Amino acid sequence: MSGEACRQIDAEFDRRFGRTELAEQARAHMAECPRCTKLYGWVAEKTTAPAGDTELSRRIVAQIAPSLTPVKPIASPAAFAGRVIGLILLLTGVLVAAMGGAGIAVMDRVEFVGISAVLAAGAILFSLTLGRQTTPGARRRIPTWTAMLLFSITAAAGILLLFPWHAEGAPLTLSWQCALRELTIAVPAAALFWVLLRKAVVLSPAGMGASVGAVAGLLGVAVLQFTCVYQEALHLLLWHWSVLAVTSGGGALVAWGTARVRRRDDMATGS
Amino acid sequence: MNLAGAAEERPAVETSEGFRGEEEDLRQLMIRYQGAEPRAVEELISRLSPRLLRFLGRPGQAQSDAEDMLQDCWMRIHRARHSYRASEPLLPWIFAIARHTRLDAFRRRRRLEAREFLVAETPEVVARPGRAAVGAGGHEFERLLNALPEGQREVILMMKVSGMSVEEVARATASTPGAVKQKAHRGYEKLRAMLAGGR
Repeated sequence: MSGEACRQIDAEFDRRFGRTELAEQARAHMAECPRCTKLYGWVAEKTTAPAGDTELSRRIVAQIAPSLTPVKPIASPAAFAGRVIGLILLLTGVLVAAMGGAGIAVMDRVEFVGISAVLAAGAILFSLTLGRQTTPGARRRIPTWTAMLLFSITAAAGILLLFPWHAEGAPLTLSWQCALRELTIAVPAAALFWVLLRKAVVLSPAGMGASVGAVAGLLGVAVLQFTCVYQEALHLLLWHWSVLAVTSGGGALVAWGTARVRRRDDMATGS
Repeated sequence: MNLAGAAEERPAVETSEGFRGEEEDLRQLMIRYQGAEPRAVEELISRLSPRLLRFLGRPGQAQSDAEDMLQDCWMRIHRARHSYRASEPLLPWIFAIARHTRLDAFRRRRRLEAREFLVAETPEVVARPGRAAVGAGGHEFERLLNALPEGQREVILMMKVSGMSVEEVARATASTPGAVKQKAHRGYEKLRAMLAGGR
């Protein structure tokens, strides 16, 4: 069997086998190669859609008809991401103003600009990831979990470069209060973001939960970054940024559990 | 072998351009569906159901099960119709929902099977007349497809059978074009190996 001719058959296959007109060389090969002829025949047969079952179609239409009302399409993922970013900025501003910007006073200009850039990148990345999950079939350049991992590595590297590792005499064990404060901010924020998602079609509950958790967690991290007096890498990584992993994981777990319970209920009611 | 003759015997296969033109037609029907036009709903359902049924069904599965899944899929599409935006391609949106319908049905079946008792006789799989009019070769191709891992199988079904592009399949499976190409390539390699092995 000629390898070149086989590749040509493959090329036809890769073009979705959507044509009966084969190239001359492929046609000649097909005349000699029963394997390729068989494969071509099967796919061509399968590609041809059978006539629709009118009885079944009628049944489906009848099921849909009572609730057939005009609907307004939801906002694009980018517009949704814009709203989420706006909300993060607004809440961060309000909470930092209310809690006092002690952290801003401690940071030097490079640290302030650097960490603000990292936080802004996170807000954009997580909002876009969340926005893309609101519509089925939306374009996704980076998978959710990969985006989160990449951002975590970048953020950790940024913190290590920008801030001193650990200042002498700074408390470490009592700093859990920072994490607690972040969680206190993140949990109600997550509920608020869920409200924004009320029109979204959730196909992957765990992914959506993780994204909501990440956005809410990032809000908590941003607020504490500008209000906490301990601006050192060890403290920031251990008691500020680790909360992001907790909120993302927690969000995924809650959403997955809720979906599971709902599926079980549906099964029990037979719907 | 007379290829021209074989082509005449087989129903005409849609061309790539045909798929593109159809996609635009379907997109227009979907927009009219969002505007609650009953005629558009009927046409969309009758035009997409055969493709969806093929994607949702499996050989050996009772026809009624596949039809139930199709009905469930259309109800999900109906509930989610506001999430379709006219500027986006339709097939990835439809198949993303269909894919999750299939996944949920699989999970449900697995859970039910875990609770089931063994019966003496397996319920008969009924093929209704006038349906699933595929030849023996078609069934064998289905069998080969089913031997593939689920991810590779669905990618090949979407690309080769539903005429979707790599980009569209990536959207429907919430994946990246690179990952889709890799799955399709691996799946295709396995198909070729199975054919060569005479399985």
